[in-house]
Amino acid sequence: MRTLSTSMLVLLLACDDKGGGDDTAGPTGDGGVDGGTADGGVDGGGGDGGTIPADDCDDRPDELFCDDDGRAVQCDEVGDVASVEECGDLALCQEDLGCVSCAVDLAAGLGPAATAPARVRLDPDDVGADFGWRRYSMRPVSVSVDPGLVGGTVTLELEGEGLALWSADGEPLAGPLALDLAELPVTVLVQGLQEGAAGAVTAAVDGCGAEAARVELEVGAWSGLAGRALGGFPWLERVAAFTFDEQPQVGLDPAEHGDRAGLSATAWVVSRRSAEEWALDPTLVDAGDGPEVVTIGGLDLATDTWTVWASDLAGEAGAIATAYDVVLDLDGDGALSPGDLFQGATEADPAFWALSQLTRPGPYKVTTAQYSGGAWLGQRTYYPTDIAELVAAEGPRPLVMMSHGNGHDYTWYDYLGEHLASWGYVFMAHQNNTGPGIDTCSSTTLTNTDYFLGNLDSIADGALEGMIDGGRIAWLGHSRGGEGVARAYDKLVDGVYTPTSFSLDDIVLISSIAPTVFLGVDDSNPHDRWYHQIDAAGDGDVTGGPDSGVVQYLRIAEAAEGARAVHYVQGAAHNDFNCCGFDDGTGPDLIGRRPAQELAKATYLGLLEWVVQGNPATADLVRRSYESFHDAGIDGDIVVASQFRSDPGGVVLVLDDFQSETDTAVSSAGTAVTATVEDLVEGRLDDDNTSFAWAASDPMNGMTLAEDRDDLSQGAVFGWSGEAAWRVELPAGSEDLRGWTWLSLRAAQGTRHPFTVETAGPLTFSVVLIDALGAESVIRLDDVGLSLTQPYQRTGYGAGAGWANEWNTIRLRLADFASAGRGIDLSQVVAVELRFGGKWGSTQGRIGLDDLVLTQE
Amino acid sequence: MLSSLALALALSTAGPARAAAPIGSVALAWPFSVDQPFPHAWRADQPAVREGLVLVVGVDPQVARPRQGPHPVLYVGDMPAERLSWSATAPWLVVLVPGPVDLARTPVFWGDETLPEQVDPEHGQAQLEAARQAGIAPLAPQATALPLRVADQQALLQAVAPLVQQWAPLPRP
Repeated sequence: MRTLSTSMLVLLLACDDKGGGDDTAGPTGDGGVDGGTADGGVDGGGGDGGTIPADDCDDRPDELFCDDDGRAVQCDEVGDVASVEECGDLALCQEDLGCVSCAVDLAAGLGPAATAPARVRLDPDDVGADFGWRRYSMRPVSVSVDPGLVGGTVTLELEGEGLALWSADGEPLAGPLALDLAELPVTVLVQGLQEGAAGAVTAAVDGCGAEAARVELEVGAWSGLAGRALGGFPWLERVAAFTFDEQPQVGLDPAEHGDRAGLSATAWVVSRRSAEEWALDPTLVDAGDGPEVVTIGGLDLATDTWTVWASDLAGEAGAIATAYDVVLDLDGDGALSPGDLFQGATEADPAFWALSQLTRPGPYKVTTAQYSGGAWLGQRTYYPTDIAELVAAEGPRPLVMMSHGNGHDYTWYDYLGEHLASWGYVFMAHQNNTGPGIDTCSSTTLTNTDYFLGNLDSIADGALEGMIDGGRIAWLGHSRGGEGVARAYDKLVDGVYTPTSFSLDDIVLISSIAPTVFLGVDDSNPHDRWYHQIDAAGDGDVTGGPDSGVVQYLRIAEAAEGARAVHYVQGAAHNDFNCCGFDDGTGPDLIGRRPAQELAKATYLGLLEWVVQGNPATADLVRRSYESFHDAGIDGDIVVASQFRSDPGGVVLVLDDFQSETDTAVSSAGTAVTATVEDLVEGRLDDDNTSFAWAASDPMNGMTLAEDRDDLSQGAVFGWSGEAAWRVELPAGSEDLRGWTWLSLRAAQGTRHPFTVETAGPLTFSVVLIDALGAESVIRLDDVGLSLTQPYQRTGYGAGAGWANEWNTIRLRLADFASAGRGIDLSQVVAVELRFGGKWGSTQGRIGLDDLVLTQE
Repeated sequence: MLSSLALALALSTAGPARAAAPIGSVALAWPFSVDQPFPHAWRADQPAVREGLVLVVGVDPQVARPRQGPHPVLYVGDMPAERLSWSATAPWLVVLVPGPVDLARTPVFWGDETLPEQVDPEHGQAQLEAARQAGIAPLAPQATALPLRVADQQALLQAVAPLVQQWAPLPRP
């Protein structure tokens, strides 16, 4: 827009008061603007630079021009000087226009209520160097001046380290830039290279006395957009997946995006595109029931959270999950552009996955083959009927095996075999010689694996030859077979068995359903393999009771050295997980076979997809608490205590796992522990008698994670009946938590303890981070939908109700502690504190505590 | 193989000691022999099976119900019998014991709760002694089938399958 400047108007008014011949900056003579005279007047000043030559307008009637001193000279219709304007410091004289503002306008998409500098997203380093998609992470800064300003240059500079400048078409820019005024407006892109970097873009028109325009910048990562709204702090749980019946939400944390406050945006849920696809086609096409227009308040995360897909999620037919990206289109151009906020687009992971109902059959028709290779080599195999077509499209299929339990039969797992085969797996159940014992049946697992892989040319008339990925084998076992698969792996590790058709590394997952522990964990040991367990709290056979280590299945999970997960299912019976075993269910609210098998189908499919196939879509089904997230097809009334531990061989900082230090005042990390809880005791997680009835003399009552000398798991137990805390200091040099993803712990209510009886339900408390300046950030478990399950109210083994202590893993995203402007400095956290009672959670309680760690993922 | 330590540990973690208990009857005895011997996995030393008896014995289904945890072992003399039927409800049990076996002098009884693969000959002998002290006497078979000769273990199991189906079938899907 071309406008006369204010200074020009002032000067035009001023000329009325000045007489002619004035040789100062005042441009007017008598007569002034109302016509003046043909001679004399202002024209008569002559001579020095402060005057206008009398004949300057002679040949320019009605023209407006700039004299040699940069003044704007207006000629009248008869060729006299009508007025002369000094443009001053804030304007430059332009031919035909006069004084034009020379101020530079830098626009970085700040909101009208912005509370923070323009945030530049830390450049994602997971997408390669192609500018085509990397640009979407850059912050655009538009440079413009009054359009009338056409002659000259603008000097643009980038201040600060950790930032880089690019042209809009992908040229890296360096040093002060001279931009031709005639080419403005121009948009440059600022790239953030260093977390926490701060700087600015400045720009000024050369020769203009106006102060340089300036946009302050800061570099930071984005926490993502998609999530699940919570009833309390941190208000939004960033999640990777939703079940089809959930409603994905998008939230903007003012602590990260305060620069956008007051802006409106259009929220789009878009079918997942690769970075290359986004680079080629940024057009937004909403895949849900939007797009949704939102206004960014910038005040708090709770109000800046919007539902972006209100109806049931739609997914690709026959797919385990469908991936979506999310874009907040801030410039309203209907396309992904630099400056828009997004999650997923251009990144390795989508904004979220919409999971299919994993209890439902998959897309493939299933064929079953039953055959025998000799004594104890009877097998029933389930596979996609059109497996050759599937393999041609997606490669050889993983092998999932089932080793049944004692008195069970290999034909009893149709429900699981048909289900997994319908999703593309090859599932083989085999005769298992469980009667003699675990050593024998583990040999059967090994020989059946060898037989199957060594005879694919004849099994099912050769239909599976070349169709199996022998490097991706999952061993599932039930009961004695569940111990057998762990024992079989141990035999491979020990070299006791030499396989002919597979190797140790080909076993990528071991999962046991309610396994026995006859041999102890020195021999029945999954070692470093990914290990999973489904346990049944209503099991009348492998009871999990305190009287025998043989039935304390969690011992095997404790012995696992790699990643592990446990699903402890209340109300499930031992034989709910096969078709035909006798009914041994013991306890209240037994769930029955069909719901238990639905749970098993979804659990195994999710587990196999993630662990064996490497499909991240289903990882949340394993990593997140079952209470928080589970398949939509599972009976909603089923209570499951779930544990997840990422691979301890990965990047983990143990704050206290109670293994190496038994002094209750010192953590495993060697730091101070202070506590105001009651009856704090550390020790082996081993119920010391054969009763679940509470006795103060047995502080580890209900613990079934250890039994004999090979069981090493230790933990702490304590209680509270008023406000209390347990606090551990961070090790020196480890105070910076910004590089960690999760704070994880596991805990269990103490069965039949008076406080537990009084609580009579799920138990909650709060987790607190404290920084060096004393700032705190508190997350209440109930605000994030987490709790410790009430022990299954089964009776037996002494007075009272309540079965073994149920361990629940609690994982809190560390970044959440600093969200919503909570004010804690994650770079210098000095302590983690658990607070109990009063305003922190359940009024009273008795818990076991273990494995307080920081992890990266 | 299990280490001796692990074996000792496993035995020590077996269920509480039980007194030897009688079975109800021996309904059928079926002598067999195999051309190709196979190991008897139901005893720690895994003696080779060349001949033996398939027996149908009358039992209390509550005792015979297959369990995952500690479970009493059925002995024929000092030898743990291989269980061939797994019904949770049938009052009959089909078992195999390596021979030769003289049922007129050999009691069939429930021994202690452990894993048969962990029973060594000494332990089996001790169980037999306990049974005798408990007054458990041999039982004459109510019927005897003609001797069976088959090639190997697989053929034997196939031959016995109808017997299992007749006396103590497993539930089927």
